[in-house]
Amino acid sequence: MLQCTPSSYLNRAVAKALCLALLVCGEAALAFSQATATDLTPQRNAVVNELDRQLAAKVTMPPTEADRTTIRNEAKFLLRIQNKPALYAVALSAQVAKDPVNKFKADVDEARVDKQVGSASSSTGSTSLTSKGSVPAILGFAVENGALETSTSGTSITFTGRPVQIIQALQDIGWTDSYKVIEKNLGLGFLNRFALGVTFDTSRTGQNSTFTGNANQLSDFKFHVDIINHRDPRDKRYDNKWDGLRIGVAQEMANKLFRVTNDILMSDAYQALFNPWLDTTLDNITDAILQNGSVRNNDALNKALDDRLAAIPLPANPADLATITTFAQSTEKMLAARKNILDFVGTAPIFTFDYTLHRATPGVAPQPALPDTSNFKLIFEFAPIKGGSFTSNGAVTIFNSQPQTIAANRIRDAQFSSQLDVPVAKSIPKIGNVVLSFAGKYEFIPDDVLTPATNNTIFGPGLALRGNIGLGQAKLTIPVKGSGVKIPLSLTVSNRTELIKENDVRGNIGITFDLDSIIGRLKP
Amino acid sequence: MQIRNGDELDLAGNDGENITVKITQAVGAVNNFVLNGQSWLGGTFKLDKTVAPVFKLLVQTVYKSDSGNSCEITVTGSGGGDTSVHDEIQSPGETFDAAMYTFVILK
Repeated sequence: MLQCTPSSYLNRAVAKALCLALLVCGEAALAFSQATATDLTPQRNAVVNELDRQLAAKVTMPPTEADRTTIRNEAKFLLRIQNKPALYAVALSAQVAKDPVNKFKADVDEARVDKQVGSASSSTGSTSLTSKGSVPAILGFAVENGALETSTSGTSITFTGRPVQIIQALQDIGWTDSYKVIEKNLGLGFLNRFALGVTFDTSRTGQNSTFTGNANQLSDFKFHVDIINHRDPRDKRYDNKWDGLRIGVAQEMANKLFRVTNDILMSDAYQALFNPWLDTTLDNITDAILQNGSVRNNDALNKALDDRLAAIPLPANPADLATITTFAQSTEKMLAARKNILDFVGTAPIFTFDYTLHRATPGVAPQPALPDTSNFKLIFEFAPIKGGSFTSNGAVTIFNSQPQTIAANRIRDAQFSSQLDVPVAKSIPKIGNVVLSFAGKYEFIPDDVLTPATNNTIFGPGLALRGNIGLGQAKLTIPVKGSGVKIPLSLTVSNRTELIKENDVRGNIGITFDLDSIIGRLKP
Repeated sequence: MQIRNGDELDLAGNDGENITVKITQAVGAVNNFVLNGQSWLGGTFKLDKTVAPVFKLLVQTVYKSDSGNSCEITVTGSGGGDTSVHDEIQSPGETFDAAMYTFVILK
């Protein structure tokens, strides 16, 4: 890197820091992946979500002291043993057989490495060299900061989604019902293969890179179609595998769960232990809701539930402890079989087509306006290793009109890129599936072409020099478990940039949101 | 069949009454049944005092993906009366759930 500017030094510093972060996080991830623990969090969250739904119809939030009895009664009805046998069986297992239970880290959707929420690599601020085959079902929102292929730095915000499901979400059709309707309707199923996206480049305002969402910041329109994509585990083609699980290990687990519920939880002897425990639990839950004024996003409520579940009384009879351990082991077998199915689904190939219309930045006199460009891209993805993926892109970009001033070819560039994603850890508490990626990209520019200038505050064309560009990238993507948020850290090296025939090293950090997870939680 | 105490899982029926259990809606879920401790394929069973004074049915739900799945279990009796409808709605990250029905035999 020979650009002796303050920003170039910053890039070097960031790159070094990210190198260190990649190594440290990679090591930490590997260390965490070997840990086993019983995780009651999904069951606890289920209680919170169900209580929230029940109270929504009976109590106005924030609740007052006058609502105490209603809240307590609703919680009591929810937490009856007949309604929550799995919750109590797992809570008992956590005490009796913590290792055998080894609650699965089932954030499968988050664990998928084929979804790209952020902008494609040609957009300003992207941290991705290679485009992925899937897009979020409802709406993806990504903010990434940095730059890869051009020397321009800025912030791009990308919205992507499937129109069918966006319309359903606006019509207040819940996520679950949305899938049901689409599955039953062939026409909607076909339309749901299509996705649209828009990217806003906030640097186009020229001031503080503030996102305004106005037309000036609109930089890209994207059209996406799934030609082949069978990575939804609910796809009918996997019914045989699910039937095998159901009649095998799942039935065995259900039989064990019946014994825990009938022989232990519903026995008179255990009820004598359970009822006082439940009374205290209900008091703590009610206090937490009244003190914080909400059910969801209530840390005090979560802690109260966690503490009480950790203190659930154990049966006195040693034979009952053996029954719980047997249930825990059968649960582990079922979850292992379920994970095998999901891993198999994750190996299904994906083949998609993307079209991106890139709106050029407006010219500032005396500089000429840049032509818009169209990018045509084919994306192929498969899984050569368990849980990982290999993605290849082939793309051509053309100018939508003949560029002015410079007698450039209508073909702006041709690109080929590949990326290997390797999950380095799937079981990190509160984090989830950390993915390490390696990517390479080759770009051929047949003629000198116009491109946005490097200065954020003054728009106008620069000159991308003809020739060959090679880029390599290492990226660590760290999710925040259960939030739909992912943080990509990347380090990119290249033989040159489009504007300058000198090698370049850059570090980028970003944040992405997958609203599938968030909306799925808000509108189950 | 009657629903007791407003609880759709706490049911009562007459001796000899046929009870029908159906998964009336399911998205991304598979179900298993255990009736009085034995694997059961679902469908219809008869309440029989000579077998047990209280019949117990566990319905297990296993979710196929991380979020957005659900199932609806509907129970009816051949003698008419109440219809029990119970929903299992997946919370994100939840892999399985279950519900235990009890059927008290009245006469």
